[in-house]
Amino acid sequence: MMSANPDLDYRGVKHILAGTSKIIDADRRVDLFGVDLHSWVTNAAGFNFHNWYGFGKADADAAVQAAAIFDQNLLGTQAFQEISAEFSSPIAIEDFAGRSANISIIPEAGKQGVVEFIRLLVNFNATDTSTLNDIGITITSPSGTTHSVLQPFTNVEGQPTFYWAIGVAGFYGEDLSGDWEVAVFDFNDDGTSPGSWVGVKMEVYYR
Amino acid sequence: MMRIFLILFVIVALNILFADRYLIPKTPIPADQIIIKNSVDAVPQRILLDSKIYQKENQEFVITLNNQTRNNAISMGLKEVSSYKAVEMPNGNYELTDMKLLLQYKDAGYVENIGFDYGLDIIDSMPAINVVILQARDVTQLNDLMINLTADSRVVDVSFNLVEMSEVPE
Repeated sequence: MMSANPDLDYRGVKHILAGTSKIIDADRRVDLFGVDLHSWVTNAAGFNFHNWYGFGKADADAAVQAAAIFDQNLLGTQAFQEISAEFSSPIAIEDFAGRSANISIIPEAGKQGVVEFIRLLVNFNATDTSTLNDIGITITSPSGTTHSVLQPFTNVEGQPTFYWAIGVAGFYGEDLSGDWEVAVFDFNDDGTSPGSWVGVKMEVYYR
Repeated sequence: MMRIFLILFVIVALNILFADRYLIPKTPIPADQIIIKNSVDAVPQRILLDSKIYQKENQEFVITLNNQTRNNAISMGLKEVSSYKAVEMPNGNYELTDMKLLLQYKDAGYVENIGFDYGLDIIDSMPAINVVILQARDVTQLNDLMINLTADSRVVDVSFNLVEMSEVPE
């Protein structure tokens, strides 16, 4: 791709790969208690994304052809914002229930306001280490796209109190501006609370 | 045949009636319980200056902010103290810092992770007042580090560790 267009940088390469890659294993889907954990999701900008396969199987021919005619300047420069939401008191996650927080984001003036990448940090006090596995986290964009960014029962290990960083690529190309919803669920209907949600931070890379 | 249809009808009806039983309910957290901090709004309260620090024989420190005052200090035979830099305070005054950071945290459980996230080593700890003294492994980006720490929800307050008073040469 960079031989076809030496002006490309990593953002240009990512943009082209995300737009030219093909859906693979289209039926791979896991839905648990109404929450979509793994499936192909077409976001509001038209990009397909799957938690297992990313943007899909790279199509080398299509990517090189697109690279040859791509104007890197269309992407502009990248901007960064960090928005933290802390709760006035920790929010207990009830047994087999979810809580959600809305975070409003406004891009800097002069920017396109288009998402490139999100890093989500969730501050959680688990009842004990084992209950970490009961937790699932989703994000819903202002455009209405929902991605599961942490799946339950995946043998997660760590400190009961953690500030968990999760990279989120599936909103690529969507509008940044508006209310983003972050939701934390307890997926284990065992009669116990997995712990308390203390706060959340979104680090947004956009153009 | 009629019985089979009846059984199928009952199965479909029960599935519809109890479908919600298997959905996890989700409740929004009220907006007045969410405290938002945005890095765009975060302005460092104190700014580390591009400066060199010299010391007089009477132990007074001299802050130099440009080549001219540096040359004056050198011509006076003053000794450079490379471990100190000047900080511009919110009121416009200058102070000296040893480039260590005083950080007040919300919960002791966060300290190790804060150090890991920002490349900071813990130099000293004052658990009675939830404060640690931290040293950055990369001191070239201290102002950016201050902005990020200020916006971090685990942090109550962060400031440069100040040392003695000083004066600017004429």
